[in-house]
Amino acid sequence: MLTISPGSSVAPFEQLRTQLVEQVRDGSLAAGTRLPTVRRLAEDLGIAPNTVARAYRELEADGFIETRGRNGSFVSAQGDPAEQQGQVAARAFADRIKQLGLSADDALAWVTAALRAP
Amino acid sequence: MTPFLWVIAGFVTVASVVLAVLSFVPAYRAASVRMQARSVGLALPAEPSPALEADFAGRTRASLIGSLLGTVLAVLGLVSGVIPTEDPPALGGVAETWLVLGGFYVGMGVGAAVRALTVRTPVPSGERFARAGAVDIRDYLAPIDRIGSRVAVGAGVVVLVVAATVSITAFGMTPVNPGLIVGGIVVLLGVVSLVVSEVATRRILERSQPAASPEALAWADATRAITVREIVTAPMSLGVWGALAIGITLTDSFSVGNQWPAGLILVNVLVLVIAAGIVAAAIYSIASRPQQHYLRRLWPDVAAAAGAAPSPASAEATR
Repeated sequence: MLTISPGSSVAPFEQLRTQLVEQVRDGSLAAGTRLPTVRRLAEDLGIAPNTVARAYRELEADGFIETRGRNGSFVSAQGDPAEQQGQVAARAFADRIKQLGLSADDALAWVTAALRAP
Repeated sequence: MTPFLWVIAGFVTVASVVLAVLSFVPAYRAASVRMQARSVGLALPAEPSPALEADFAGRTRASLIGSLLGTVLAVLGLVSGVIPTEDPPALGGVAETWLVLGGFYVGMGVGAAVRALTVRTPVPSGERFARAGAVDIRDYLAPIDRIGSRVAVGAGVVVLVVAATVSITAFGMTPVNPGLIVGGIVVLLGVVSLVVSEVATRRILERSQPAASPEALAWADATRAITVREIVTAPMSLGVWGALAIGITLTDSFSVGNQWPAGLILVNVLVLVIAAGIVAAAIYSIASRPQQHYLRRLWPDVAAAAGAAPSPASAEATR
Protein backbone atom coordinates (compact mmCIF):
# COMPACT_ATOMS: atom_id res chain seq x y z
CA MET A 1 0.00 0.00 0.00
CA LEU A 2 1.25 3.47 -0.88
CA THR A 3 0.17 6.70 0.71
CA ILE A 4 1.12 10.35 0.42
CA SER A 5 0.70 12.71 3.36
CA PRO A 6 -0.10 16.19 2.01
CA GLY A 7 0.97 17.82 5.30
CA SER A 8 4.36 16.12 5.47
CA SER A 9 7.57 18.15 5.17
CA VAL A 10 9.01 15.38 2.98
CA ALA A 11 8.52 15.96 -0.73
CA PRO A 12 5.83 13.72 -2.29
CA PHE A 13 8.28 12.12 -4.73
CA GLU A 14 10.56 11.23 -1.82
CA GLN A 15 7.65 9.78 0.19
CA LEU A 16 6.76 7.64 -2.79
CA ARG A 17 10.34 6.58 -3.53
CA THR A 18 11.01 5.64 0.11
CA GLN A 19 7.86 3.54 0.40
CA LEU A 20 8.59 1.68 -2.80
CA VAL A 21 12.19 1.00 -1.73
CA GLU A 22 10.96 -0.33 1.64
CA GLN A 23 8.43 -2.60 -0.03
CA VAL A 24 10.99 -3.95 -2.48
CA ARG A 25 13.45 -4.57 0.35
CA ASP A 26 10.98 -6.30 2.67
CA GLY A 27 9.71 -8.44 -0.20
CA SER A 28 6.11 -7.19 -0.22
CA LEU A 29 6.85 -6.02 -3.77
CA ALA A 30 8.39 -9.12 -5.27
CA ALA A 31 10.74 -9.15 -8.23
CA GLY A 32 8.78 -9.05 -11.49
CA THR A 33 5.78 -7.22 -10.02
CA ARG A 34 4.45 -4.67 -12.48
CA LEU A 35 4.02 -1.17 -11.08
CA PRO A 36 1.02 1.02 -11.93
CA THR A 37 1.48 3.42 -14.82
CA VAL A 38 2.73 6.91 -13.95
CA ARG A 39 -0.60 8.49 -14.87
CA ARG A 40 -2.68 5.94 -12.94
CA LEU A 41 -0.61 6.20 -9.75
CA ALA A 42 -0.60 10.00 -9.96
CA GLU A 43 -4.40 10.05 -10.26
CA ASP A 44 -4.84 7.55 -7.42
CA LEU A 45 -2.57 9.48 -5.05
CA GLY A 46 -3.66 12.95 -6.17
CA ILE A 47 -0.18 14.08 -7.14
CA ALA A 48 1.35 15.36 -10.39
CA PRO A 49 2.45 12.76 -12.96
CA ASN A 50 5.89 14.37 -12.98
CA THR A 51 6.23 13.55 -9.28
CA VAL A 52 5.58 9.84 -9.90
CA ALA A 53 7.81 9.90 -12.99
CA ARG A 54 10.66 11.40 -10.96
CA ALA A 55 10.29 8.75 -8.24
CA TYR A 56 10.28 5.99 -10.89
CA ARG A 57 13.37 7.49 -12.60
CA GLU A 58 15.32 7.53 -9.34
CA LEU A 59 14.22 4.00 -8.46
CA GLU A 60 15.36 2.84 -11.89
CA ALA A 61 18.69 4.60 -11.49
CA ASP A 62 19.16 2.85 -8.13
CA GLY A 63 18.33 -0.55 -9.64
CA PHE A 64 15.07 -1.14 -7.76
CA ILE A 65 12.87 -1.11 -10.83
CA GLU A 66 13.33 -1.52 -14.56
CA THR A 67 11.32 -0.19 -17.48
CA ARG A 68 10.44 -2.64 -20.22
CA GLY A 69 9.33 -0.32 -22.99
CA ARG A 70 5.57 -0.20 -23.47
CA ASN A 71 5.04 -3.06 -21.01
CA GLY A 72 5.63 -0.69 -18.11
CA SER A 73 7.84 -0.63 -15.02
CA PHE A 74 8.67 -3.77 -13.07
CA VAL A 75 10.37 -4.47 -9.76
CA SER A 76 13.92 -5.66 -10.40
CA ALA A 77 15.37 -8.69 -8.70
CA GLN A 78 17.68 -7.63 -5.87
CA GLY A 79 20.96 -9.10 -4.53
CA ASP A 80 23.48 -11.39 -6.22
CA PRO A 81 22.54 -13.42 -9.34
CA ALA A 82 21.55 -16.48 -7.28
CA GLU A 83 19.29 -14.40 -5.05
CA GLN A 84 17.80 -12.70 -8.10
CA GLN A 85 16.91 -16.04 -9.67
CA GLY A 86 15.43 -17.18 -6.37
CA GLN A 87 13.23 -14.08 -6.27
CA VAL A 88 12.06 -14.61 -9.83
CA ALA A 89 11.23 -18.26 -9.04
CA ALA A 90 9.37 -17.16 -5.89
CA ARG A 91 7.34 -14.69 -7.93
CA ALA A 92 6.40 -17.38 -10.46
CA PHE A 93 5.38 -19.71 -7.62
CA ALA A 94 3.30 -16.99 -5.94
CA ASP A 95 1.54 -16.20 -9.24
CA ARG A 96 0.71 -19.88 -9.73
CA ILE A 97 -0.64 -20.21 -6.17
CA LYS A 98 -2.88 -17.16 -6.74
CA GLN A 99 -3.99 -18.53 -10.09
CA LEU A 100 -5.05 -21.78 -8.41
CA GLY A 101 -6.86 -19.87 -5.65
CA LEU A 102 -4.82 -21.57 -2.91
CA SER A 103 -4.08 -19.95 0.44
CA ALA A 104 -0.77 -18.25 1.24
CA ASP A 105 -0.45 -20.25 4.48
CA ASP A 106 -0.70 -23.57 2.63
CA ALA A 107 1.76 -22.39 -0.01
CA LEU A 108 4.29 -21.32 2.63
CA ALA A 109 3.91 -24.63 4.46
CA TRP A 110 4.57 -26.55 1.23
CA VAL A 111 7.62 -24.45 0.41
CA THR A 112 9.00 -24.92 3.93
CA ALA A 113 8.43 -28.67 3.72
CA ALA A 114 10.01 -28.83 0.27
CA LEU A 115 13.08 -26.90 1.41
CA ARG A 116 13.55 -29.14 4.46
CA ALA A 117 13.17 -32.33 2.45
CA PRO A 118 16.50 -34.10 1.88
CA MET B 1 -44.99 -13.80 -28.45
CA THR B 2 -46.42 -16.55 -26.26
CA PRO B 3 -48.36 -15.73 -23.05
CA PHE B 4 -45.40 -17.21 -21.10
CA LEU B 5 -43.04 -14.77 -22.79
CA TRP B 6 -45.35 -11.84 -21.99
CA VAL B 7 -45.36 -12.96 -18.35
CA ILE B 8 -41.54 -13.04 -18.28
CA ALA B 9 -41.26 -9.63 -19.97
CA GLY B 10 -43.89 -8.19 -17.61
CA PHE B 11 -42.19 -9.63 -14.54
CA VAL B 12 -38.79 -8.24 -15.59
CA THR B 13 -40.32 -4.81 -16.25
CA VAL B 14 -42.21 -4.63 -12.94
CA ALA B 15 -39.27 -6.01 -10.92
CA SER B 16 -36.84 -3.52 -12.52
CA VAL B 17 -39.12 -0.56 -11.83
CA VAL B 18 -39.84 -1.64 -8.23
CA LEU B 19 -36.15 -2.23 -7.44
CA ALA B 20 -35.15 1.08 -9.07
CA VAL B 21 -37.72 2.91 -6.91
CA LEU B 22 -36.57 1.01 -3.80
CA SER B 23 -32.99 2.17 -4.43
CA PHE B 24 -34.15 5.63 -3.27
CA VAL B 25 -35.39 4.25 0.08
CA PRO B 26 -32.70 4.65 2.82
CA ALA B 27 -33.53 1.39 4.60
CA TYR B 28 -33.34 -0.58 1.36
CA ARG B 29 -30.04 1.10 0.43
CA ALA B 30 -28.50 0.16 3.79
CA ALA B 31 -29.80 -3.40 3.49
CA SER B 32 -28.43 -3.62 -0.03
CA VAL B 33 -24.93 -2.64 1.15
CA ARG B 34 -25.15 -5.20 3.99
CA MET B 35 -26.11 -7.88 1.50
CA GLN B 36 -23.28 -6.92 -0.86
CA ALA B 37 -20.80 -6.91 2.05
CA ARG B 38 -21.66 -10.53 2.81
CA SER B 39 -21.41 -11.45 -0.84
CA VAL B 40 -18.02 -9.82 -1.50
CA GLY B 41 -16.55 -10.83 1.87
CA LEU B 42 -15.88 -7.35 3.26
CA ALA B 43 -16.81 -5.93 6.65
CA LEU B 44 -19.25 -3.05 6.68
CA PRO B 45 -17.65 0.36 7.29
CA ALA B 46 -17.41 1.21 11.00
CA GLU B 47 -19.78 4.14 10.48
CA PRO B 48 -22.71 4.28 8.05
CA SER B 49 -21.35 5.42 4.71
CA PRO B 50 -23.84 7.49 2.68
CA ALA B 51 -21.32 7.68 -0.17
CA LEU B 52 -21.06 3.88 -0.36
CA GLU B 53 -24.83 3.47 -0.18
CA ALA B 54 -25.33 6.12 -2.87
CA ASP B 55 -22.74 4.43 -5.06
CA PHE B 56 -24.42 1.04 -4.79
CA ALA B 57 -27.85 2.60 -5.33
CA GLY B 58 -26.63 4.43 -8.46
CA ARG B 59 -25.01 1.28 -9.79
CA THR B 60 -28.17 -0.74 -9.15
CA ARG B 61 -30.34 1.84 -10.93
CA ALA B 62 -28.02 1.96 -13.94
CA SER B 63 -28.06 -1.84 -14.27
CA LEU B 64 -31.84 -1.97 -13.84
CA ILE B 65 -32.51 0.78 -16.37
CA GLY B 66 -30.20 -1.01 -18.80
CA SER B 67 -31.92 -4.38 -18.29
CA LEU B 68 -35.33 -2.77 -18.67
CA LEU B 69 -34.32 -1.11 -21.95
CA GLY B 70 -32.73 -4.34 -23.19
CA THR B 71 -35.86 -6.33 -22.41
CA VAL B 72 -38.17 -3.77 -24.01
CA LEU B 73 -36.01 -3.62 -27.16
CA ALA B 74 -36.02 -7.43 -27.47
CA VAL B 75 -39.81 -7.55 -27.04
CA LEU B 76 -40.29 -4.72 -29.57
CA GLY B 77 -38.05 -6.57 -32.02
CA LEU B 78 -40.18 -9.69 -31.73
CA VAL B 79 -43.58 -7.95 -31.72
CA SER B 80 -42.78 -5.62 -34.63
CA GLY B 81 -41.56 -8.50 -36.80
CA VAL B 82 -38.05 -7.05 -37.17
CA ILE B 83 -36.84 -10.36 -35.74
CA PRO B 84 -38.54 -13.11 -37.78
CA THR B 85 -40.57 -15.58 -35.75
CA GLU B 86 -43.47 -17.97 -36.25
CA ASP B 87 -46.94 -17.39 -34.85
CA PRO B 88 -47.18 -19.30 -32.54
CA PRO B 89 -43.38 -19.53 -32.05
CA ALA B 90 -41.70 -22.88 -32.66
CA LEU B 91 -41.14 -25.12 -29.63
CA GLY B 92 -43.21 -22.87 -27.38
CA GLY B 93 -40.90 -19.90 -28.05
CA VAL B 94 -37.68 -21.34 -26.58
CA ALA B 95 -35.41 -19.19 -28.76
CA GLU B 96 -37.61 -16.10 -28.28
CA THR B 97 -37.54 -16.53 -24.49
CA TRP B 98 -33.76 -16.63 -24.51
CA LEU B 99 -33.65 -13.60 -26.77
CA VAL B 100 -35.74 -11.61 -24.27
CA LEU B 101 -33.60 -12.78 -21.34
CA GLY B 102 -30.52 -12.03 -23.44
CA GLY B 103 -31.82 -8.48 -23.92
CA PHE B 104 -32.15 -8.27 -20.15
CA TYR B 105 -28.54 -9.31 -19.52
CA VAL B 106 -27.06 -7.24 -22.35
CA GLY B 107 -28.94 -4.20 -21.03
CA MET B 108 -27.72 -4.91 -17.50
CA GLY B 109 -24.11 -5.12 -18.72
CA VAL B 110 -24.40 -1.97 -20.81
CA GLY B 111 -26.01 -0.08 -17.90
CA ALA B 112 -23.29 -1.24 -15.48
CA ALA B 113 -20.52 -0.35 -17.97
CA VAL B 114 -21.91 3.10 -18.77
CA ARG B 115 -22.27 3.89 -15.08
CA ALA B 116 -18.74 2.65 -14.24
CA LEU B 117 -17.22 4.62 -17.11
CA THR B 118 -19.03 7.87 -16.45
CA VAL B 119 -19.43 8.11 -12.67
CA ARG B 120 -17.33 10.76 -10.96
CA THR B 121 -15.64 9.22 -7.95
CA PRO B 122 -15.49 11.65 -5.00
CA VAL B 123 -11.87 12.72 -4.49
CA PRO B 124 -10.82 12.63 -0.80
CA SER B 125 -9.16 15.81 0.36
CA GLY B 126 -6.58 14.42 2.80
CA GLU B 127 -4.31 11.42 2.76
CA ARG B 128 -4.76 9.02 -0.14
CA PHE B 129 -3.98 5.34 -0.51
CA ALA B 130 -3.02 3.41 -3.62
CA ARG B 131 -1.87 -0.08 -4.44
CA ALA B 132 1.85 -0.42 -5.24
CA GLY B 133 1.32 -3.13 -7.87
CA ALA B 134 -0.58 -2.85 -11.15
CA VAL B 135 -3.87 -4.73 -11.54
CA ASP B 136 -5.44 -6.44 -14.52
CA ILE B 137 -8.63 -8.25 -15.39
CA ARG B 138 -7.36 -11.51 -13.86
CA ASP B 139 -7.49 -9.80 -10.46
CA TYR B 140 -11.21 -9.08 -10.76
CA LEU B 141 -12.65 -11.95 -12.78
CA ALA B 142 -12.32 -15.59 -11.78
CA PRO B 143 -11.27 -17.94 -14.60
CA ILE B 144 -14.80 -19.39 -14.68
CA ASP B 145 -16.13 -15.94 -15.64
CA ARG B 146 -13.20 -14.68 -17.71
CA ILE B 147 -12.60 -17.79 -19.78
CA GLY B 148 -16.17 -19.08 -19.47
CA SER B 149 -17.62 -16.12 -21.39
CA ARG B 150 -15.22 -16.73 -24.29
CA VAL B 151 -15.84 -20.49 -24.28
CA ALA B 152 -19.63 -19.98 -24.18
CA VAL B 153 -19.60 -17.57 -27.12
CA GLY B 154 -17.22 -19.88 -28.99
CA ALA B 155 -19.56 -22.82 -28.40
CA GLY B 156 -22.47 -20.72 -29.66
CA VAL B 157 -20.58 -19.82 -32.84
CA VAL B 158 -19.62 -23.48 -33.45
CA VAL B 159 -23.23 -24.62 -33.07
CA LEU B 160 -24.39 -21.76 -35.30
CA VAL B 161 -21.90 -22.75 -38.01
CA VAL B 162 -23.01 -26.40 -37.76
CA ALA B 163 -26.67 -25.36 -38.01
CA ALA B 164 -25.98 -23.07 -40.98
CA THR B 165 -24.08 -25.84 -42.77
CA VAL B 166 -26.85 -28.32 -42.14
CA SER B 167 -29.47 -25.82 -43.30
CA ILE B 168 -27.58 -25.00 -46.50
CA THR B 169 -27.15 -28.66 -47.34
CA ALA B 170 -30.94 -28.81 -46.86
CA PHE B 171 -31.52 -31.89 -44.76
CA GLY B 172 -35.24 -31.40 -45.21
CA MET B 173 -35.22 -28.05 -43.44
CA THR B 174 -36.06 -25.61 -46.21
CA PRO B 175 -37.32 -22.99 -45.66
CA VAL B 176 -35.02 -22.31 -42.71
CA ASN B 177 -36.68 -22.73 -39.32
CA PRO B 178 -37.27 -19.24 -37.79
CA GLY B 179 -36.09 -20.70 -34.48
CA LEU B 180 -32.63 -21.01 -36.02
CA ILE B 181 -32.67 -17.37 -37.08
CA VAL B 182 -33.63 -16.22 -33.57
CA GLY B 183 -30.98 -18.53 -32.08
CA GLY B 184 -28.44 -17.14 -34.56
CA ILE B 185 -29.33 -13.59 -33.50
CA VAL B 186 -28.78 -14.59 -29.86
CA VAL B 187 -25.32 -16.02 -30.70
CA LEU B 188 -24.32 -13.00 -32.81
CA LEU B 189 -25.49 -10.71 -30.02
CA GLY B 190 -23.22 -12.77 -27.74
CA VAL B 191 -20.24 -12.20 -30.06
CA VAL B 192 -20.87 -8.44 -30.15
CA SER B 193 -21.38 -8.27 -26.38
CA LEU B 194 -18.15 -10.25 -25.82
CA VAL B 195 -16.14 -7.72 -27.85
CA VAL B 196 -17.85 -4.80 -26.13
CA SER B 197 -17.36 -6.36 -22.68
CA GLU B 198 -13.62 -6.88 -23.29
CA VAL B 199 -13.21 -3.23 -24.31
CA ALA B 200 -15.42 -1.91 -21.50
CA THR B 201 -13.71 -3.91 -18.74
CA ARG B 202 -10.29 -2.72 -19.95
CA ARG B 203 -11.47 0.90 -19.84
CA ILE B 204 -12.99 0.43 -16.39
CA LEU B 205 -9.73 -0.97 -15.02
CA GLU B 206 -7.83 2.01 -16.45
CA ARG B 207 -9.87 4.41 -14.31
CA SER B 208 -8.31 5.71 -11.12
CA GLN B 209 -9.44 4.67 -7.64
CA PRO B 210 -8.91 7.64 -5.30
CA ALA B 211 -9.25 6.19 -1.78
CA ALA B 212 -8.97 7.80 1.65
CA SER B 213 -8.26 4.45 3.36
CA PRO B 214 -7.38 0.85 2.54
CA GLU B 215 -10.97 0.01 3.46
CA ALA B 216 -12.27 2.45 0.83
CA LEU B 217 -9.89 0.95 -1.73
CA ALA B 218 -11.12 -2.56 -0.91
CA TRP B 219 -14.72 -1.43 -1.42
CA ALA B 220 -13.75 0.23 -4.71
CA ASP B 221 -12.24 -3.11 -5.77
CA ALA B 222 -15.40 -4.92 -4.70
CA THR B 223 -17.61 -2.56 -6.72
CA ARG B 224 -15.34 -2.94 -9.71
CA ALA B 225 -15.44 -6.75 -9.43
CA ILE B 226 -19.26 -6.72 -9.25
CA THR B 227 -19.44 -4.46 -12.30
CA VAL B 228 -17.12 -6.50 -14.52
CA ARG B 229 -18.95 -9.69 -13.52
CA GLU B 230 -22.24 -8.12 -14.55
CA ILE B 231 -20.70 -7.12 -17.86
CA VAL B 232 -19.42 -10.61 -18.74
CA THR B 233 -22.73 -12.22 -17.77
CA ALA B 234 -24.24 -11.07 -21.09
CA PRO B 235 -21.81 -12.79 -23.51
CA MET B 236 -21.69 -15.89 -21.33
CA SER B 237 -25.46 -16.31 -21.13
CA LEU B 238 -26.05 -15.37 -24.77
CA GLY B 239 -23.43 -17.85 -26.00
CA VAL B 240 -24.87 -20.68 -23.92
CA TRP B 241 -28.51 -19.90 -24.62
CA GLY B 242 -27.90 -19.35 -28.34
CA ALA B 243 -26.16 -22.72 -28.60
CA LEU B 244 -28.99 -24.43 -26.72
CA ALA B 245 -31.72 -22.66 -28.71
CA ILE B 246 -30.14 -23.65 -32.01
CA GLY B 247 -29.45 -27.19 -30.80
CA ILE B 248 -33.02 -27.73 -29.61
CA THR B 249 -34.41 -26.26 -32.86
CA LEU B 250 -32.15 -28.55 -34.89
CA THR B 251 -33.33 -31.52 -32.85
CA ASP B 252 -36.90 -30.54 -33.59
CA SER B 253 -36.19 -30.11 -37.30
CA PHE B 254 -34.51 -33.50 -37.55
CA SER B 255 -37.37 -35.13 -35.66
CA VAL B 256 -39.90 -34.12 -38.33
CA GLY B 257 -40.10 -37.05 -40.71
CA ASN B 258 -36.87 -38.47 -39.25
CA GLN B 259 -34.93 -37.35 -42.37
CA TRP B 260 -31.48 -37.93 -40.93
CA PRO B 261 -31.43 -40.24 -37.85
CA ALA B 262 -27.65 -39.91 -37.40
CA GLY B 263 -27.98 -36.12 -37.40
CA LEU B 264 -30.72 -36.30 -34.78
CA ILE B 265 -28.51 -38.41 -32.51
CA LEU B 266 -25.53 -36.10 -33.11
CA VAL B 267 -27.47 -32.95 -32.28
CA ASN B 268 -29.08 -34.54 -29.21
CA VAL B 269 -25.64 -35.52 -27.92
CA LEU B 270 -24.40 -31.99 -28.62
CA VAL B 271 -27.28 -30.43 -26.70
CA LEU B 272 -26.77 -32.82 -23.78
CA VAL B 273 -23.03 -32.06 -23.69
CA ILE B 274 -23.75 -28.31 -23.60
CA ALA B 275 -26.39 -28.78 -20.90
CA ALA B 276 -23.99 -30.93 -18.83
CA GLY B 277 -21.30 -28.27 -19.29
CA ILE B 278 -23.68 -25.61 -18.00
CA VAL B 279 -24.58 -27.67 -14.92
CA ALA B 280 -20.90 -28.46 -14.19
CA ALA B 281 -19.90 -24.80 -14.63
CA ALA B 282 -22.76 -23.67 -12.36
CA ILE B 283 -21.77 -26.13 -9.60
CA TYR B 284 -18.10 -25.11 -9.85
CA SER B 285 -19.07 -21.44 -9.87
CA ILE B 286 -21.16 -21.77 -6.69
CA ALA B 287 -18.44 -23.77 -4.94
CA SER B 288 -15.56 -21.44 -5.89
CA ARG B 289 -17.34 -18.20 -4.88
CA PRO B 290 -16.13 -16.11 -7.86
CA GLN B 291 -17.65 -12.98 -6.28
CA GLN B 292 -14.75 -13.09 -3.76
CA HIS B 293 -12.06 -13.80 -6.34
CA TYR B 294 -10.83 -10.18 -6.21
CA LEU B 295 -10.40 -10.55 -2.42
CA ARG B 296 -8.17 -13.60 -2.78
CA ARG B 297 -6.08 -11.86 -5.48
CA LEU B 298 -5.83 -8.30 -4.20
CA TRP B 299 -6.49 -8.60 -0.48
CA PRO B 300 -5.17 -12.06 0.49
CA ASP B 301 -4.82 -11.12 4.17
CA VAL B 302 -8.45 -9.99 4.30
CA ALA B 303 -9.54 -13.11 2.44
CA ALA B 304 -7.61 -15.31 4.86
CA ALA B 305 -9.11 -13.47 7.85
CA ALA B 306 -12.59 -13.75 6.33
CA GLY B 307 -12.06 -17.46 5.82
CA ALA B 308 -11.06 -17.91 9.46
CA ALA B 309 -13.52 -15.51 11.07
CA PRO B 310 -17.30 -16.00 11.26
CA SER B 311 -17.91 -12.48 9.89
CA PRO B 312 -16.25 -10.74 6.94
CA ALA B 313 -12.91 -9.11 7.74
CA SER B 314 -11.97 -5.47 7.38
CA ALA B 315 -9.33 -4.14 4.99
CA GLU B 316 -8.08 -1.97 7.84
CA ALA B 317 -6.33 -5.13 9.02
CA THR B 318 -3.93 -4.82 6.09
CA ARG B 319 -2.58 -1.41 7.04
